[in-house]
Amino acid sequence: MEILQVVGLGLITTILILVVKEQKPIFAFLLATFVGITIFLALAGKIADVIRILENLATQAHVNNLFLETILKIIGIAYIAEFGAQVTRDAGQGSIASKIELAGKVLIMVMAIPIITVIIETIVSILPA
Amino acid sequence: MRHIEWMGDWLKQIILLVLVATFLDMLLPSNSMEKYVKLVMGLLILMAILSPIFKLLSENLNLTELAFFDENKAVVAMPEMMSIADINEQTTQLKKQQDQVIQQKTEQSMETWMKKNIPDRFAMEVVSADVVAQFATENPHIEKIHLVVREKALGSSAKQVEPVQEVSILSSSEPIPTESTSNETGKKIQGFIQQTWNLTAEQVEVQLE
Repeated sequence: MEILQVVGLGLITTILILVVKEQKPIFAFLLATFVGITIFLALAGKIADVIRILENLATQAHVNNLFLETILKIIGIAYIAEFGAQVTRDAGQGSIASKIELAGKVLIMVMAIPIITVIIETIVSILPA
Repeated sequence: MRHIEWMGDWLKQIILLVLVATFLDMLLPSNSMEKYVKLVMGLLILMAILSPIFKLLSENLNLTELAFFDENKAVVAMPEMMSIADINEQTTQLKKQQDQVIQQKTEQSMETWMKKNIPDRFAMEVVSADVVAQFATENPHIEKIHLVVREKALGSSAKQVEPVQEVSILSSSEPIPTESTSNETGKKIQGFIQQTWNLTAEQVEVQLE
């Protein structure tokens, strides 16, 4: 999906939502969520291209697979958590949105734990006992 | 040269990781998540930078000994510390061991197969079977099979086979004379083994007791 389509879809949706909001606020929310998901999924393909290229580069440069895997996982978690939080925040549920964000942060930190362990172990073993 | 190669690999890894990290930073949805992502990316880059130290530590080198090492000796010792040559050497050694294990397994399984199948087909008993295989070379092959057989006590099936043996074996096996094979059944066993593993007549030796 190109930028014009995305913007067009967004503008039309905004107008529709403004019209519908007076009568049925729930439909306005559903419409917003649906359009949001559509745009997100349309862009997922492009992101996949970028990630594939990055992966290719990394394998060519003999980058450890662990590093790239972790980075990509972090990106995925960040995107998905962000998206969910935004949708819930649009619906007026700010508290649930912040919980989703919290979950995203915790999961990202969990990814970091093995790395932190390795680094700290190394430092400890370097230091004379 | 090996050092430069190794260092190039290391640098390449770091540079690519930093580039990817900045690129993905731009891709990120700008929000509270950014802080955390940046922290983890930083840790990853740190780990990539430290990776030679991990390698050193995993080889269980005594760091104090290294620190107070004689400089002249250290220059000689450095390449051995984590050189690719060491790893290569280990690899070849492991490969050799693996080849040996494969060879032993192959020989064993061939021997048991013969011990199981020859009595079924020829009414003979296998006294001993010895397979010599060669796996160290580029194309692994069987060097020699040495079989010692003797007649089974029960010969009901052997009697039925005998007339057929006389006709077929005499004509087919005459051009390939082998000293150790003393009679028709032996030749038949030899032919059977030859066919099974696609060997030449010289490689199969059947002895009758």
